[in-house]
Amino acid sequence: MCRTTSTVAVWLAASLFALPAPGGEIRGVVQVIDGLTKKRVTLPAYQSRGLAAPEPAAGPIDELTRVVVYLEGSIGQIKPVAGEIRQRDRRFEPEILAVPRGSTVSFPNSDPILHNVFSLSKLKSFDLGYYPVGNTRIVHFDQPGAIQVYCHLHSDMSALILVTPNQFYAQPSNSGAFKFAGLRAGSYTVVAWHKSAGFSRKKIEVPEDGVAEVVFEIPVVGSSAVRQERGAAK
Amino acid sequence: MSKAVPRTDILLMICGLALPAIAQEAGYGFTLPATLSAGGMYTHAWEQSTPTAGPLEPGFQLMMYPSLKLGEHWYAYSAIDVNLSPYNLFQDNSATNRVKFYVIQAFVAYHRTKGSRSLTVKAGQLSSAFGSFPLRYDDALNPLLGAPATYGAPSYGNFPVTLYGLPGIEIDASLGRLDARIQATNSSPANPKNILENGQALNWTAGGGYTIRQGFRVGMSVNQGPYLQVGRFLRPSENSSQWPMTAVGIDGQWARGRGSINGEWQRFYYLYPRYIVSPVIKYGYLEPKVVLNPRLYVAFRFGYESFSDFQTISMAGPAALTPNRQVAELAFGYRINRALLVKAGYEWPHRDGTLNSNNNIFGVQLVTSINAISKAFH
Repeated sequence: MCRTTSTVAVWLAASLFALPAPGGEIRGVVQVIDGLTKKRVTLPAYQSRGLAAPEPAAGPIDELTRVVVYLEGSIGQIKPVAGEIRQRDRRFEPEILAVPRGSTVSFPNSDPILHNVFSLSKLKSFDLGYYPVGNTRIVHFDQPGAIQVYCHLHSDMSALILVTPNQFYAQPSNSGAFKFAGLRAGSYTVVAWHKSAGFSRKKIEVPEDGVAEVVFEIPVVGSSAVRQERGAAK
Repeated sequence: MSKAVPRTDILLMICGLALPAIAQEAGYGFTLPATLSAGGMYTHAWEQSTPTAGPLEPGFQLMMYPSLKLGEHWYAYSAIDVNLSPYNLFQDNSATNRVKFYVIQAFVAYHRTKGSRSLTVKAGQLSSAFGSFPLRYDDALNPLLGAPATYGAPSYGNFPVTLYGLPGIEIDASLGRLDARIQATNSSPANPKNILENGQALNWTAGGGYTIRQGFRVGMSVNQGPYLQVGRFLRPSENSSQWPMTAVGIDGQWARGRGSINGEWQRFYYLYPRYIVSPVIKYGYLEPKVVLNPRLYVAFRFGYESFSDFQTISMAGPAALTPNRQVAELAFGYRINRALLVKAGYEWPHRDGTLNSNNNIFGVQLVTSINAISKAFH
């Protein structure tokens, strides 16, 4: 039941006793308080002939893997990264990827069947065509925002790339904790984004050489209403 | 600015609201993908068969795929077509506007995959296992507006291979690069019957293929079985099993980068009572498609159909069955978004010895893919 107790205790201990990094720091926790992601109903890919299509992996849903936290605005220098979204077992892995503006994302195919990765997002549209197992295609992302990625051949495959405007982005740990260090004193907007719940913003004041704390509860809209409904149901 | 939150409160809140982990894939559930397409055709092709028809005929087609996942290996699948005919040329040869309803597929299946091996057993209303086009009759999968000339409506004598399903059982298997299938149906793909109709007769279809490399597969299929019915070519005292149709087909699929090619060649040999020379129809088509940019593609299909001579016992000598024909179709597709596709195409049907452009067709389709409806049970 209380699967996050130990990790949250560690986080609390860390926030109480650890020495802060030079400059200001934002520490926070994201808690998903309701199941937001629908279970998929996936039938075998019977409408195909040829090589056997792999079955999608049936791992557990961890809502925190669908969350990205970042700071809004242009802050500091951007260090582009080389991200990767793999096509494996008729799924994109990972389903959510956060990269800073100017980064590249590689889309290797690990399946014995063909895929056709594409996006029609206004920020970045691309069609990577067909390529076999072991091959990849790389896409460059310049504009910050959310880019949805799909496969033309398998309509239940989807992924999302969140291109952040700066270097301060994170996916929460298993306990939901995240941290941004090395910030100058000032006002910041922290954004928590969940694939289904969307965006949640909180303004926070970071002191010089101090720690500011923030807590996000997802779903964002009417989170208290959700708790009330649960209470009423009991 | 955010308010400071007491840490004990955070801990209590988190402990109280921790979510149990649930499986990502439902073991049991219902799903209802659908494709809704609407559009129109401009042609004078209907004027002979339907004098009241104008050159512009609007229509729609709703393909629904209600399906149940029944555990790890079992599922039930269906494909239901509701359309305002003639939405596509292959649906009918006349412009009699009416809403039609077909259960193209409705079967229960057992499926198992292990590594590069897979096995599927299906029983119920099935797509014909002959040829490769019956896998992609959906408007969202077919890059063009029409179908290859030998595929079409479930009407006796018009199309050798129905796109509208047959009752039967089928086994599909793949082992590494090899795949094979065998299907037994209650009637011929050239003259499909439902399970309550008279004139049912066992038909066999078998096929197989080899994937030369990922994205390049060649296959073949054969069909054999009675197809004639009493009242047309067959007398009440005659048994249709004496005069079967035998069909052989080869097919190929290639895809790499932004290009793909589909192609088929087929030969249909029809036996008739009181014929000295039985007719043979040969048909082949090639269908390349190129993605020009993420939103735009162009596709082309050229098909050639040749008809042999035939001779009945009352004829002095063989005669041509009908002039050979060629059909070329060009279509552009524009993706408005992930769910919406606009297709515009032009088709040139041509018969040897004729110079008639009245049968040319200009068509437009707006195709909407609906994937949102699903419900997990467990």
